[in-house]
Amino acid sequence: MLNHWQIVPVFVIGFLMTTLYLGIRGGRGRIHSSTDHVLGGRTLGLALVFFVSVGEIYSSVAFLGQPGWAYQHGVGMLLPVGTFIPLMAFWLGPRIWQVGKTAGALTQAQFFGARFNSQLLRAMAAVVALVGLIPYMAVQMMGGGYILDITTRGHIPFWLGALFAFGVVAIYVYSGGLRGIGWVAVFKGIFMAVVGVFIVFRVVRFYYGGISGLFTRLATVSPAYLTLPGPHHFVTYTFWSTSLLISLCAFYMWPHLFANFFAVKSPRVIRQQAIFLPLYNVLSTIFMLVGFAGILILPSIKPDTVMVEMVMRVAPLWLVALFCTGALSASMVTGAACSLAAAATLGNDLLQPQLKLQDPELRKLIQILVFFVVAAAYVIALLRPATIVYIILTAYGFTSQFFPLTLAVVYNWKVSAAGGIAALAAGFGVISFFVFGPLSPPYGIHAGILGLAVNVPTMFVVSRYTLAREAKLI
Amino acid sequence: MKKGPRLLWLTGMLLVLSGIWPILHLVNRIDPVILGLPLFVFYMLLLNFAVAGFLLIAFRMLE
Repeated sequence: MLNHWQIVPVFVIGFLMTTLYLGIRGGRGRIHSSTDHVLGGRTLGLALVFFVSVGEIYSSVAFLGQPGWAYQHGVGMLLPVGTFIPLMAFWLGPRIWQVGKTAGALTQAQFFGARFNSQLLRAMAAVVALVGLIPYMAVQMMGGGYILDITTRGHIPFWLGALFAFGVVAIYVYSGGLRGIGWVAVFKGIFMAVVGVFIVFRVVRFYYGGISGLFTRLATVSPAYLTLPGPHHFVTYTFWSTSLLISLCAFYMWPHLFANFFAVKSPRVIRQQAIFLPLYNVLSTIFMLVGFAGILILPSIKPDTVMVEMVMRVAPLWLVALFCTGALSASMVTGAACSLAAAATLGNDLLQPQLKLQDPELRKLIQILVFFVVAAAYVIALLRPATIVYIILTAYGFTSQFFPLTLAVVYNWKVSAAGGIAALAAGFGVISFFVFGPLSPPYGIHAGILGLAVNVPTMFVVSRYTLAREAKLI
Repeated sequence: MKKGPRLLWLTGMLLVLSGIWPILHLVNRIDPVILGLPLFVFYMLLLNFAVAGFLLIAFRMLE
């Protein structure tokens, strides 16, 4: 008879082997060029694009972090970013696809570099992409490592769990590229929806008899959790509104999400998948119910552990094991997409301009760099730096600064490379000042909004004085 | 911009505005409870279906 801690690894190993098989098989015989590896040959259809999107959007943060926020801040966690980002995909996605296809872009940095004919802008975008992606990957690894550590009661330590899960990721990203990630994402998307929803309703039913009972008791005992600004007065109207607006600007500026638009076979598919995204977002709201349920049952635990703690109290062993695999898969798909985008950016935008390789060699370089970026993220994950949250929050503000430049590209505004570089530098400077400097943003406004407020006028003013000179040089 | 796309763009903007202050102020309450959900939670869920419906209509208009 297997012990509790032995059942979880059996399920997890079975799951990892399945993902490895799907990931390798997804790309078998279809990877002949760097475009095939990084963008699936620009031929992804509706099912793959949809599941890659939800796989990247709903990471382990949706499974573990958001219920923790709901536990801590109540309905403040219902910030409807996932609700509204499909509008951005529907609006900007087809335009980004068109420019990306014309420029033959593999990455976001190449997209900007090609449009403005600027190697400096391309390198700048590449460095920002790596600064954001590698810590983000590390966070996903930390999620995977913690899950195995907690649920096996330390028998699979953090370092081993993270190493094993992301070793599998590195192998299938190396072998299958985006198409491999796509097939793993299909498996994960369906698995997470079925297992996650089943577990959530089991937890809520066990303690409260149903959703109605949960909210009735919460409204009686702790009503502050059911309205803004929440019990700790953290989520004010200003914080909510500016966070939502900056998230909408920043979301698709993340390099791995941006490059997804290049991989789709037609703009029609981008629009179709956008229709279904808000419906999948309902799932993430359902996961948060466990956070609400934990408020009265476990009044003083670490917020991020509320999901695991609640599930372990209610579910039988096999269900706990399935939950672990679902949470692990969520972190792995997001981590896989980030590793591919980071390797492509490093190889294509920082090394290729110096090395000038033929395409088969470039493809091989990007494949090898997948191991390099995963290893870099693993080192960060092992160090577990306290500042990692700040790095990611800053990266979010930084990526939002690409939004005006993206609009300038897709709408063909009169903007010069110098204008773009100056705008990004100004935006980054403002964000760095408020994140690392002595002053906090006034009135709880998100630093990214303040960055954009400086970024946009800088872009137009500098372009006005440099556009004519650049046109002459070209 | 033609009339159809302009209308779609404005409707999309209105949808986003419906998720931020000051509309937020109107729905930031527990009562009335709808389908067992506090008004605020119900409203946030409803927005998902509103966006999906809007995008479906927009898709049909554009394709």
